[in-house]
Amino acid sequence: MNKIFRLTYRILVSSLDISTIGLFIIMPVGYLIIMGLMMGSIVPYMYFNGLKISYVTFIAPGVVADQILIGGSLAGWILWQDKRIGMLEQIFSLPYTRFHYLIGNLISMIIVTFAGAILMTLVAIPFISLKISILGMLLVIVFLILGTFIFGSIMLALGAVVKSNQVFNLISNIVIFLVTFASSVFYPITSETPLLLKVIAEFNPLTYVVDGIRSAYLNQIGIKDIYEFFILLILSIVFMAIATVAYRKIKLSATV
Amino acid sequence: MEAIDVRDLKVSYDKKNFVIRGISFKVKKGEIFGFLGPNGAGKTTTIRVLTTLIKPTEGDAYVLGYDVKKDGLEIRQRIGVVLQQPSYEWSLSVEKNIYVYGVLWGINKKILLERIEQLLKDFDLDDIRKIYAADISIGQRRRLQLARELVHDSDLIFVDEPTIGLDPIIKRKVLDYFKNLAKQGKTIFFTTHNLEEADYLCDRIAIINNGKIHVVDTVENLKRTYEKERTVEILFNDGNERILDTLRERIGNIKIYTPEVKGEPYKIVTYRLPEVLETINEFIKNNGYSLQWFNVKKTELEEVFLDIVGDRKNEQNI
Repeated sequence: MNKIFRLTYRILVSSLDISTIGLFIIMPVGYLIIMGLMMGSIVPYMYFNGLKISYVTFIAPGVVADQILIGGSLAGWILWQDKRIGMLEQIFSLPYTRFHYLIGNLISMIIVTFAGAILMTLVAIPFISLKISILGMLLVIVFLILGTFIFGSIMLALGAVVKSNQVFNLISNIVIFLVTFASSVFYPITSETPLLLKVIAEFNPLTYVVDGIRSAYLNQIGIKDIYEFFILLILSIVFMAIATVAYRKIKLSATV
Repeated sequence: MEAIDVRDLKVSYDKKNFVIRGISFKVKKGEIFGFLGPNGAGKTTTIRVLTTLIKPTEGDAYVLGYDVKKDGLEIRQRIGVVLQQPSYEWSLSVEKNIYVYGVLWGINKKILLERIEQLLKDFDLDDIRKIYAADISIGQRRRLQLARELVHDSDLIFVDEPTIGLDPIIKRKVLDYFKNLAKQGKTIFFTTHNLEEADYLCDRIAIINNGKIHVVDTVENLKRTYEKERTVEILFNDGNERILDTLRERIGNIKIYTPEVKGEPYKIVTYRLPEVLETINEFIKNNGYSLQWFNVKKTELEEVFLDIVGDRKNEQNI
């Protein structure tokens, strides 16, 4: 087995215990059921690109897109944990390079994102009117990969620089909360959206991932999605560069 | 070819202060080499250079013929490293920890499973094989860390203070395990500040302090150098300072080590044992103080170590 796949195996096996997987599933399913189905009685329908859809159909692509946060945060959490429990230093004393570790980590988060996205889609199918084309599937795959790279990079940079567990948990929770709720996951960003929220949502990569996946799931792909693709591509390059710099500067514990 | 060849190695973390200040030594293949020193002496930093975790600031080091500056992967492919810092997968069971580590080393599954069985027995981990690493004791974790590293074959094993947290029986078992590995031709680089362990295990030792190596020799040679020297341990109920002053006045060229813990005996290291004993005897007769502890012994590695390292806080030369 290739070194990178061995590391991927190790990351997945050591980090995805039953309780973690349970949490990963419960939270988005909760969004889908509590927000989607129960709020559906308060918000009976929404509009997307002029298309009238049920609220659960509106938020289902958002919950699928939200998986990039779960995959991304796993990457940062793994790096942080490995630093904390001494496994990073131990792995670097094996025939592995920092590059191997970084790529293994990225592959792990992509796997987690896709597993979550497929699961959430399967859970949502009975409640939504899914109309996805082959092009739509490709777009979902590309947007999920780019989105995971962006949030994975943010979390990797965080995992690389923070020094304490509390700070890591606090910052990652703030990032996840802000990114989830200041995006188009639960409501559309329109001219009526408060200005501050609109500005944050415009700079929030999750907004573009959600819009792209929503377009794909409702077969509404248009020129706007190409524009969003390029924004996500540029952001992923920028954030990957930042994460790489932070990662390269990790100092292994210096016990004399 | 030596297993390790270090030449005028210097390491600085901040490019101002050197924690390793020009050390040179060689380790032969199949040898158990002890690297002794007090806390902060530079033992772990030396291991980190030799295992290519950090680069030397100056000087050269070769491990199994490979340059630590250029051939990191080649070196790491051939060595085993048990770091001082605890490291294990908290969320995995004891046996799964070893299994995952074996996968990282790319060991064939059948061979890996056989080795795991053997290691679980060798390190007394069989009974706790299904228990999560987070739920086992410090000593058990240390054994897991050692067992895990021995799951793969390596020509040279670096072990940084491996016996911390182990009970005496397991400690002896672990040391014997390393002895057996050396008999099989493996080289062991062993750091410790436990002199008893070094005495039991090592073929040769280097003593490092403040980033400098003070001596590299066999344990036997070091002891022979100090053969005629004796260590007198004394503790009076009262008047300890007076007898020490008397000894200082009457006998030159002795070393007195005051204990770190109150109630522990003072150690007097001397080549002039009869005069020391006579002085103590007279002191008791003349002053009526009674002895709480008295012992005379040959100088052991511990005294040699203290002498070489020269802990000024506890030493009063006269």
